[in-house]
Formats: sequence, structure tokens, C-alpha cells
Amino acid sequence: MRIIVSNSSNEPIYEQISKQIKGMILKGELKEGDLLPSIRGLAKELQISVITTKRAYDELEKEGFIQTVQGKGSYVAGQNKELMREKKLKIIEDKLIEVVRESKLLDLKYEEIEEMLKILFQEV
Amino acid sequence: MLAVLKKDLILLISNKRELIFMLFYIPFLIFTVDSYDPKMLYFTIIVTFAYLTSLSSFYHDIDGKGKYILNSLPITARRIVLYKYASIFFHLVISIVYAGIYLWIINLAGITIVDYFNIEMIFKAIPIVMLIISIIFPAYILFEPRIAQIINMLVFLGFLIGMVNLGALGEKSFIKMIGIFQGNSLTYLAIIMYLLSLLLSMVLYQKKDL
Amino acid sequence: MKYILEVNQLKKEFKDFKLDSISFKLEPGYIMGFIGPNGAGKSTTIKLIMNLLKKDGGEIKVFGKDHIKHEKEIKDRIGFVYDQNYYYEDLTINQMRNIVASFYSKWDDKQFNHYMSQFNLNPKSKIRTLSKGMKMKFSLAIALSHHADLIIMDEPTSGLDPVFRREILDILYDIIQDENKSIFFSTHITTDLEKIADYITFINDGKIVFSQSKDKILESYAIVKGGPELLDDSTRKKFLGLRETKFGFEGLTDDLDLFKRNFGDRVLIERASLEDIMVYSVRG
Repeated sequence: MRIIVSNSSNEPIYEQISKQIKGMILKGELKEGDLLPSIRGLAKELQISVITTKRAYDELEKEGFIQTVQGKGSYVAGQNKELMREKKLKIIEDKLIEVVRESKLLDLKYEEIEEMLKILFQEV
Repeated sequence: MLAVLKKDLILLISNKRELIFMLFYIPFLIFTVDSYDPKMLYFTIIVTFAYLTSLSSFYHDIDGKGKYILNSLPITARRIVLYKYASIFFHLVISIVYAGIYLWIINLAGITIVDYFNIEMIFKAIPIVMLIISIIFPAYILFEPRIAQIINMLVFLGFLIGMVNLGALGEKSFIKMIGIFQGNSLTYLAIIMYLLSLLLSMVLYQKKDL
Repeated sequence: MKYILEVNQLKKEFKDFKLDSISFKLEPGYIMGFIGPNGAGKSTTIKLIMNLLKKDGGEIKVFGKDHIKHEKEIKDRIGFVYDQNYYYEDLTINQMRNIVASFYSKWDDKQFNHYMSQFNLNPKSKIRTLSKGMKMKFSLAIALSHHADLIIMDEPTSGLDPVFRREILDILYDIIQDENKSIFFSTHITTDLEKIADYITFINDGKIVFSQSKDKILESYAIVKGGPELLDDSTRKKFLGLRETKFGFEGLTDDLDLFKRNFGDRVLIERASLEDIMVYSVRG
């Protein structure tokens, strides 16, 4: 399991953690039923506050990605396939919004982006 | 209780200044308290030695470097004071043993004739030490160290002068004239003063900012 | 127990300093950093908690119990680490251990020996011969060897090099794996706390400035930097602390949205560190 946090990023640490865990779940690297590290153990490994890891896990639980069992720990929750697909689509949409923004800053036209996409779909 | 006593003993032995004091104090007294009666010299040594070592350990724990550590351990302020008051008897025993050996060696070496063990004097010494401690311990708790040291100095000198006076004038001396220092009344006075002082110290120490 | 340490309206008055009705709380399982400039009242507060100084008013509860009425049983469960000047210099580590061990009901020699070897300390050495760092490790070993539930530390890392301080933090992380234990840690070296602390209580001039979760604090405050033309009397007032130079200004604010709204892209907004918050709050 790979979690890397940046102290200098503007993104709050708890968000960085929940995003990375979310990503691993969506990509299938973490499977349903997998046990996550304890909030204290994770805090120690990452050298951050317990409250931060707790918040990350609370977020993940709220969004349905994990389930916490008192006394046992947190497990990856069963993912509704529809829901997962929707979530993945949302991620792609966010990335595309970024592409559009950057393009507009550089005054690129839609057609130029379309060209780029075509080439990439063939190459990648 | 035992732990506190052990600590006092170790601290006594480990501190260089204390060791030097212990080594040279007795010869110092032999020279200054030139007594008509070797019993008196013995008496003076026992009393002052017991009282000074008791005071030193008291000060260290109550107001000196040791106070923060000792008072952060699970022990109440009252108990600390109680142990300090009880430990003077322990210090008396050490004085008797130490002085006994030291003076015995001096006797053996023929430097001068000294009494190295005298039961009568020991029994007279105990109440005197208790009386001195009754005054000094609360003084150190109540007043800041500088003032307490002045009081300590006064008491110590007062006692020494009294001893020298007694030695010089014998029966005609000031001390023999105060009947109160005779016989059993001295012991009762000492016990009462000691207990009152203990209670006072407990109350004062509980309120004291360290 | 809801709170492992509870300070309510604590008051203490000295000739030229006053601790003015300070309050804060710490739950079991967390680390609270107690920060403030020198002379702010950190040591005084800790001494009051340990009843080394006698309070003038207010209430202190440890493990849910009044700290004076249950003084002995509370101290049995507290591990304390103070400024190293207070140790018995003439004793050896073993001698000190023997003295201290006899006071605690749950003294654990095995644990102590484990720390001795982990910290590379020789039990026969005299305390006087130990370096600052070793003395600190030694007192930490004592504090951790009697199953204490609350560790109270008064400026434990001042005078120690960063490598050392990091080692201490690692040890603290280990302690806090047990969610029944808490650590209360006063320091003016805020970088130590930036990583490890769960809560921060900031004291200045005898008053509590804030007592909150570290995450929330770091989220609420920001450093705003901009050109001198943006400053006027009304904007100046909006800063908690401000530093002006010929080339611009740099200020601390706890109202990030205000600045984003009014100045948008014309200012540079950065995260404030605990040190920034402390310095600007104190200096103004």
C-alpha cells in the first residue's frame, strides 16, 4: 500500500490521504474486505497527527469507501459496480476540466485538443 | 521511607563538599571546643553533626535541587515532612557511629584524649538535637533560604557558644543556671516542641510554592 | 474518563506576572502541544498541575479526579520530564532508579532496562557525566517505566539537536499507539509539534490564546503577502500580526476568505506555520 503525503502542498493532508486510498480502491489495488492500517499506526508511519488520519478515514467512511468496525479496524467496503463507475467517470471529468482550463490559458482551440486526444488514444 | 533514607545516605557520601566537611569537621571542633570535660566535646560533636546532616538533607529535598523531583513523585507533602522529621534519628545514629570510629582512631593514635562513645551524653544529645531541629525546620519552610540560613547560623553559633561557655565556666556557666536544661523536663520539652514543630511544618509545607 | 487532563479557570498571581483564568482539556489518546514564548506561563502551568506551585483559584482534574485531593494516586500514573537541571547530579543512574522505583506502585524494571539499552545508556554512569540529550533520555526512560498514562513534559527538547529531537518524537509516537495514554508537552520549538501534535494550546502573557486541534489551527490561519499599495488603515486592522517593509507586507490572518474576496489574485496566500502564528500573535 502506497501513501505519500506532502507537507508543502496546499491540499490538506487528510484529503491527500483519503484521495490516495480512494484511488487505490477504485483502481482495484485495494479489494473489498482488505484491512486498512490502524489510524494510530498510519499516523506514526506518516509522522502526522492521529486526528488527521482519523479525519481521512471518516471521510472515506462517509463516502462509502470503507467501513470501520469498533475494536477491529477499518475495511474496504464492498463497492457497488455502478457507483464505482460513476466515481471513476467523475475523476475523468475533473481531469478533463483541468485540460480545458489549461488549453484556454494557452488559447488553444477545441480542434487542436481533439487532434492530441486522437493521437494519444492510438499511442497509449 | 527506606528509599528516602537510602537516598540521603548516598547523597551524603557522593557529594564532595559534604565529604570534606565530614572529614575536617571533627578536628575543627576538637580545636574550638576546648572543654574541661571530654564528655562535652563528644556531646557537641554528636549534636552538631546530627543536626547539620539532617538539615542538609532536609534542605536538599524541601527547597533545594531535589524539591521538584521529590514532590512530583507519588508522595504527599505531609509525608515528606514526616519522613524528614523521622530521619533525624537515623542521622543521629550515623553521627554516633561515624564520630565513634573517628574519635576512636584519634584516641588510638594518641593525638589527644577524647571520649568516643558515651551513653549518658547520647541521651542528653537527643533532646537537644530535637529542640534545634524544631526551630530550624519550620524556619526553612517559612522563610526564604537566605533568611533561614541566618537563623540557622544564629542557632548553630548560639549552641557552640553555649558549649564553649559551659566548657570554660563549668558549674558556674549560664547554661547550668537555667534549670530547665536539667533532667526529665528537658526530654518532655523536646518531645512536645518536636511534635508541634512537625505539625507546623506539615501545614506550612502543604501551602508552600516550590 | 472523558478527559485525561482538565484545567478550568486556573489562576495564579505573582508579583509581576499573572496566570489569568486559563482553561483547556485533553482527551485520552492524544498529544497536546503547549506553546508560547518564554515567560508566557508554560512552566508555571505545569508546576500548578503537578502541585509544585499552589493555585490561587480554579480547578485542575487529572484522570477525572481533583489533583490535590487525589494527589498521590494521580502522580503514580504520571510520568514527568522536566528541565534537566533538577536532577540529582551526584547519583548514578542505578541509584536514581532505585530511589524512584520504590515510589511507584507499577514500576517495571524490564521496561526500564529495555529503554536503557535502546537509548544506549550505561546504568552505572553518574548523572553528572551525561550529556543534555542523555539526561533527557534517562528521564524519559524513568517516566515511561511505571505504566504512566499521562506524560507531562516541560520543554524537554530545548538545547537538543534536531537529530535527537526527531528520536524523541519517534518515542512519543510509540507511546501514543496506546489510545489510553496522552502526552502533554510544553515547548517553544514549534517545529517539533507541527508533525506530531493533535492539539495545540497557545499561551501568551498568562492567557490562553487558543486551544484547538492542530489541523484546524493550520487551516484557519494563513500568511498573506502583498504589495504596499494594498495597505490602508482599514486593511491593516484586519491582520492579527503584520510586518511591513519597503517592498511590501507580510501578515497573519485567521480570516482567509476576507482576503481572497477583497484582493483575490493580487496577494500571495501561504500556509502559516505554528511558528508564524506564535510570532505574529505575540509581536502584533
